[in-house]
Amino acid sequence: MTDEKLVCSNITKTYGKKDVLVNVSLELEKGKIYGLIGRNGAGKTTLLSILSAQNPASAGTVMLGEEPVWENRKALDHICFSREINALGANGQGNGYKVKDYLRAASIYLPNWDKEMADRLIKEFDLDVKKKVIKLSKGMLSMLTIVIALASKADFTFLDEPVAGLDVVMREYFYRTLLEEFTESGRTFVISTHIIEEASDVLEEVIMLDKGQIILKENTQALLERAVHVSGKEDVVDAATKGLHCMHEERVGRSKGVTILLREGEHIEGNAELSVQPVNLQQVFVALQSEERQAG
Amino acid sequence: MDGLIRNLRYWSRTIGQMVLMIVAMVFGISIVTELEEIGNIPLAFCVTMSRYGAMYMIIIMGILGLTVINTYMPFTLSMGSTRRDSFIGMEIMLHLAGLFTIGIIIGAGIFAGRQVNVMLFVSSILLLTASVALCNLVGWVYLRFGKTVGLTLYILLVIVGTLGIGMLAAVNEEGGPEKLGMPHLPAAGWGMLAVAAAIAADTILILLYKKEVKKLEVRV
Repeated sequence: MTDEKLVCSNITKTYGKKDVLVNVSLELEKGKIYGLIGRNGAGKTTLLSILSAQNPASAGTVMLGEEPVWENRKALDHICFSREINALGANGQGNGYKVKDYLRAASIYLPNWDKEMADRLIKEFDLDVKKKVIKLSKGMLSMLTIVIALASKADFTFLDEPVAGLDVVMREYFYRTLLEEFTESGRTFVISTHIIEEASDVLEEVIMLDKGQIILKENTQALLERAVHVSGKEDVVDAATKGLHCMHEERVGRSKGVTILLREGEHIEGNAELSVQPVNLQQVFVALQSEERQAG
Repeated sequence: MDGLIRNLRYWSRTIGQMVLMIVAMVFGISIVTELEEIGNIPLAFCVTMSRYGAMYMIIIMGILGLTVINTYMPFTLSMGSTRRDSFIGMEIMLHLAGLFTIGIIIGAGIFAGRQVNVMLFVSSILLLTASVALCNLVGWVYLRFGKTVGLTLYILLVIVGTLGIGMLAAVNEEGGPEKLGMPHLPAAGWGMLAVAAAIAADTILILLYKKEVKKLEVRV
């Protein structure tokens, strides 16, 4: 187990003329569950690939304490990126592998592999280990990803869309198992997901990515405490929210609703004419995206 | 060293399966083509293996060159291996698999009554390095120039490779070089030249390949 932080500095990734990541700097601490949230094409998978040295950055560095991560087995032994499994296999070609082949490879490459945990999860998910990966459903592929991630026992474990294709019962099971593992081991998890609201209960810190840049990185609870939705008559809302950071506005007739991110020291109270309601993480994300779109 | 050992364990199974495929293929063909005439399964297998094993080895090694770089190496990276350890592990197992297959071919040939001579030994080394070089070349071209060019090159090389084996067999015969219109050299001399060329090619390809492998990316 390591107590070091995983730090990426000024990471840029370019494919041809397209900048997929632009000057991304991030510090991941030990013993936290991070949510990596962003729209399709925001750069989430690319960022996780670079953090785990599966892909090279065009510029910038990734360090685990004093050790560079790139091509460094000593550092990579502490990191596991259980990426979304393509039924056709890595890089788009069928590899003919079965579930048991993936598990065997994981037991070879991952130094802290917990076979007992893997077997237990396989049983819980009712996965047929003799089945070829190319014949698995999307949900089953997600289950395999989850098994590898959780049983890896890596200090820094990244999951890319782990609940894609899972039914609600299995999603609940995943979050429960994740929290149990987190409580027991103190590992760091980074979960990239589109199902924001469901995951928000487990996410300690949220990282929002948009067009290859980090637009927000904050403790989830603190973020939700300072995000509010203010609604009422347009003139009343405008007066109450003057000078505040308004992310998103909606108008219906003479009424107006505004999603606001309060800065330190700022405060807004509701009254008979003004409604002030808390918002959830998904609403904060959508509002921020709206703001970015308008700014762009 | 740990990283290399992990890769040796992984690649031994993946590449080992390819070797078994060669043996199984030859076994199947021997049953169909030689069994009726020879009437004895082990002898039929040995005759077929000693006659055609080299050709199938080259074909399979070429396929391996494509699949290794396209599928299996990115898979090892997705499991946390470094490119260096994965590549070295792969090369070691490729050469060992080649040696093992050649061992089977020579053993089969001896069992089938062929003579063991210097030329046989030289041809074996040539076959090993040429087939591994082919595997590396196809993989490198695939990485550098894309799938279509890699596949086209592979097909061309298989044709050239099998022609080369035929030529080697002809050179091995008495008076072979003169019949082929080549300057006079002892048969072993031709073999040594070919071996030196194959080893040089294999070494160059490994270096080139490694340069491209350093940039290899894992994609969903």
